[in-house]
Amino acid sequence: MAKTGDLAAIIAGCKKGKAECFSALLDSYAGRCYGYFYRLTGNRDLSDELLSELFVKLVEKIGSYKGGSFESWLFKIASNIFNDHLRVKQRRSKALEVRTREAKSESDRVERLGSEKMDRLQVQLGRLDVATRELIMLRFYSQLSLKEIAAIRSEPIGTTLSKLHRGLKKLRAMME
Amino acid sequence: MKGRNEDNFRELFERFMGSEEANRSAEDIRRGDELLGEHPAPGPSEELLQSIEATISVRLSHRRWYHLRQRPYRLGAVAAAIVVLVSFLARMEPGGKSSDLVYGSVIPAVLWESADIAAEDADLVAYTAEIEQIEEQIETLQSGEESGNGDSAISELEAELTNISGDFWKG
Repeated sequence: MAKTGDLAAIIAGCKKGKAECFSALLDSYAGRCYGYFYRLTGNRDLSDELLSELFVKLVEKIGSYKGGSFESWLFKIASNIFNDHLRVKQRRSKALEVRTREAKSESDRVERLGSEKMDRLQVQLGRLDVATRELIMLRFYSQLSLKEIAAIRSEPIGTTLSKLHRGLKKLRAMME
Repeated sequence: MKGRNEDNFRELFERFMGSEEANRSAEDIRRGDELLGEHPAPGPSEELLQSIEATISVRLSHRRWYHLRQRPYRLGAVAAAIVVLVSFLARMEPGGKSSDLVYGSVIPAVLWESADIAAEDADLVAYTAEIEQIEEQIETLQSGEESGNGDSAISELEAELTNISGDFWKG
């Protein structure tokens, strides 16, 4: 991760359109952002797509970054990209089809993940609801404080804390 | 993954529950984090990173080209703004008050101040004389004093009117 002073210089370079500064951001954040997308989707190809989209957005939006926590800004975009992806996916499927397929697809997905030699964590994460999974991953990969995460999610810190606690406890129980 | 998000969970939980329960909940979070740390996610492939870098380069060159294309329009807008600003400032006195505009008259001062314009303005004298002459000719035609069929007199009158009209518009 870039130090604060370095990061400011890198962001200033990005705003001037310097490709090497975007490469520096990619070096610093690609791993964490990829981990975030991968743990949410459990799919490498999809994670590749979402990470590419994130950095394209970064090029487009870097001018609108006005200071503050860069991680918070970056992961807010990442979270929006993931949620947009979910929305598009949902729109594509008809409501009825979703309902009938839901139960089967979930178990298929878990099975598929297992067959793809996914780690146990990924399999159990797939059993959590999307919102809880996203909260846990956002906190873990963004390394933001709970206060910052609550701000991103536009909810009171107590709600975020409670959801995080419940989610992590459930995940740990499933892993045991 | 150990990062900077080291919230004091015990303190946070104590806002909502008793001390003992807060301790237990904070411990749940710590053990959950430990679990996540024990299972690192795979990283992006080298090919993916190279592909993203290439995409960024293309996007940046597009952006540069777009800005380059926008430059003449922006310069034009700035130039227009400067012209407007300068013309506005030119109408202002140093004190900030708008100065009186000086209007120029198209009528010469001699005529403007004259008591007898008809005598001072040579053009006006000539036009007045011609109008009087035309009036006489019209009277002659009306009274039928002129010999012949009168066509020549009308033609002459028309020619004269045309000349006067031409002279008038030439100034």
